[in-house]
Amino acid sequence: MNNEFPKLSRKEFKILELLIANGEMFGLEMVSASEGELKRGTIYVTLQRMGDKGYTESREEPRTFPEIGIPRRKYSATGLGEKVFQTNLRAIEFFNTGFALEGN
Amino acid sequence: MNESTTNNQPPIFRFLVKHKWRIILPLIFVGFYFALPRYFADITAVQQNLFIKSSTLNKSELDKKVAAIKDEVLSDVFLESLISEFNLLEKINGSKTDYLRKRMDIWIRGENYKNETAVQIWINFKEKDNPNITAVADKIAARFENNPELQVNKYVTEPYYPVVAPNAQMLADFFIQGLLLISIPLIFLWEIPNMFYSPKTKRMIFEPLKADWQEELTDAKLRGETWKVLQINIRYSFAFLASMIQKSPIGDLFEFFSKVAR
Repeated sequence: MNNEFPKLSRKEFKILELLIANGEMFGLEMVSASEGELKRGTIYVTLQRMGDKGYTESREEPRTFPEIGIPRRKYSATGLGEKVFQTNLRAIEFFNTGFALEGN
Repeated sequence: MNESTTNNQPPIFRFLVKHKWRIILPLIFVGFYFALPRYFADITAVQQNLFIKSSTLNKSELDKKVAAIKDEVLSDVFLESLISEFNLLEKINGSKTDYLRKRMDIWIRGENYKNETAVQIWINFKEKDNPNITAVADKIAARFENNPELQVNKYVTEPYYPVVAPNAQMLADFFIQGLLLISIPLIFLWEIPNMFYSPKTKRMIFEPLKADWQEELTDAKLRGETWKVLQINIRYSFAFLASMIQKSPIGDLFEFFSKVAR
């Protein structure tokens, strides 16, 4: 049995938190909703890396008339992403309880 | 999660990440502090005051004589002789005489003096420590001094470096230069991913970013928020650059070290 579990970075954690809470989201929506934690310049690179790890998936959302321009991309958390998020969340909660501190 | 992740990182890394804007912004301001005054102060100026009398001419004739010498000094022939003698304005394209004429002022003040005419020669070069400036001023003053009908008392100031207050022209120059600096990366920025990144990276990173850029830009344009358009362009230029760096080997290395630190 593997004792290791995938640890999420701060940005990855925030992205999964938003996607699990809101369902499908655009990158820009996540930037706005994160209140400064996610930046325009880094979110898509993080999302691509998360996609490669299988935590998120995305699809192109074509523009609807009369909008024109480059199609935007909508992101959602995968089952694995949700599981990793829950694991990390539990680990944090556990770490922050008095029980964990007794071990110090 | 945040605290436990941060706590595992080396202290210097933690400090740099936490205080990045406190480090970057002062550096930008310091850069401006050193750049701007130099732009405004890279001027060498010299001033010569000539008090001119004449034993043969009356006041009216004296004023006319001085005005005539001033016209001679500002003539193309004299200015060209100055330019060739002192090798002036080598970097200037176009009319060098016009340029030199703009850089010097000769004021004649005759009205308040009974038997004297005061002439003030003021020359400034848009360059620091120009070695020719005093010689050029002397050469101009000599046109008055060498005239046999005139007696001249000359008072000279040392070359000095005035800090010229930014006038409308300078501010306009700055604005245009700033826009150009912003526009140049904007023109090429969108093309860079085509050259250096894979189609997948383009599709997953740069196209969504461009779509967001377009989205915010259209929104600002529809609202007529001109300044916001500029702000969005700057913001997305940086976002584009940040994404490119993150997807470069430097970014991969940084990601690797962050992972190790975690």
